[in-house]
Amino acid sequence: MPAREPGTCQSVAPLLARCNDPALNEQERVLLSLHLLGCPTCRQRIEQYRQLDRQLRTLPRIELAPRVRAAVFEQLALTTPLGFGAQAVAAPRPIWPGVAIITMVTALMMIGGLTVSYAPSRATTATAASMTTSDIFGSRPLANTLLMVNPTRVMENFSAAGSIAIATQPAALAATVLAVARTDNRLVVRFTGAGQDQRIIVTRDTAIIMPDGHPGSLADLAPGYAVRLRCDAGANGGMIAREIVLQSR
Amino acid sequence: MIEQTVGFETAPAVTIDELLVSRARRGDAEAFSEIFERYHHRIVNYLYGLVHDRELANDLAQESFLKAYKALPRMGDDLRLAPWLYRIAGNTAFSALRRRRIIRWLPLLNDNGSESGFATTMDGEVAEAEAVHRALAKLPAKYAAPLLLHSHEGLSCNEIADVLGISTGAVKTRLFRAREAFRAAYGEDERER
Repeated sequence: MPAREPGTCQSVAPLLARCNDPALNEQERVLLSLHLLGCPTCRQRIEQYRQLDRQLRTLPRIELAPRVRAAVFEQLALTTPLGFGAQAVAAPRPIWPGVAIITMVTALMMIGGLTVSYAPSRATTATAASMTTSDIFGSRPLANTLLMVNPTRVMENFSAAGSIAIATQPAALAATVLAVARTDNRLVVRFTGAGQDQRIIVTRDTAIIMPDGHPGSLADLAPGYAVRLRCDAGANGGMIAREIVLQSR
Repeated sequence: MIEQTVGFETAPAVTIDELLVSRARRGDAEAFSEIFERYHHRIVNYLYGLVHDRELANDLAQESFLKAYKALPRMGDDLRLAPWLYRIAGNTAFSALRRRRIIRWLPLLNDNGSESGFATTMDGEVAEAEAVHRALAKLPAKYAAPLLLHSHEGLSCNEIADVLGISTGAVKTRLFRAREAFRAAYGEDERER
């Protein structure tokens, strides 16, 4: 190493290894820069590091297996984590969470008939009532998650509303698919119906049900389909479809 | 507008993370599912870089997110979500590696001779990716972790220290040794090709 270089190769070696570290301070940057000016060996070394960094960054990424997503949401539905709900001390909590679930099922069954009137073009009363209750505790992982992991919270919302406003949220709405736009891992579907045109996010967790009752996929959603739609409010204020039942085209 | 896309590294994303953590801590499963959506890709790839087995990485990702879900209510308001998730994932991977005694890497090629399950890329890129993976796989996990977090995930030494639960000084040392080991392993692989 030439004598004029600031620092020794050994002393700047850890700085070379952190060449991409945003936390490198000004003094360290200056020391490293000055050393590199006079040391071809370290220049070559840092170039190798950067090249390997580029290779690491461009390494192809794997996709999460669909089974993992399904398993996580399923487990969330079955697991009530310790401590959850402990902060909601304002309202008295049931001794056994199952009580809340049973109470909620009963309440939903009782108002099932009322929600029918909020679904504009439901085929039959019997179908509507069964969808309102069975759908919530059916195979939909996220619906299960929302209701099962924190039943007390749902119940609080439910009773605080003092009406069927909350209860009617899961009810199916009649709509027609106007357009489908694909983003990274979800679709943004524009529907008309339910009183207004609205864009709704459709994710891989959305249940798509074909007209014959069989499960469908995102690819089956196409403009022109008359559908029945169930949605929840998303984190960003948008609407996320939980279930889309395709009816006719 | 229904969907709002914000990068993880930007300031608003931190706010969104804090908001999601706050909601998830109170038992909002929708918030946790949003956390899952935002981070599963990074976590599963970090795990893949540590264990070099696609199926195992997926299993560990599942385990990690469930651990996170259960632990969230016990965490403080000042929880920094990304480092915390990486820490859970890393610890889960290290435990699995110890359990299975898989300290060194397993064969990259599948039985049919194809690449390691990567999406379609050019032959040269696949060969390059395999070489990088082979080199990475020769590193002990304690060196692979800081290297992946720094070079692959873009974390600073302070953040890596947070993730690995070691001092920043130790991270710097490990990072230096990891880079040297990786460089040597890659060079060795290149000579063999």
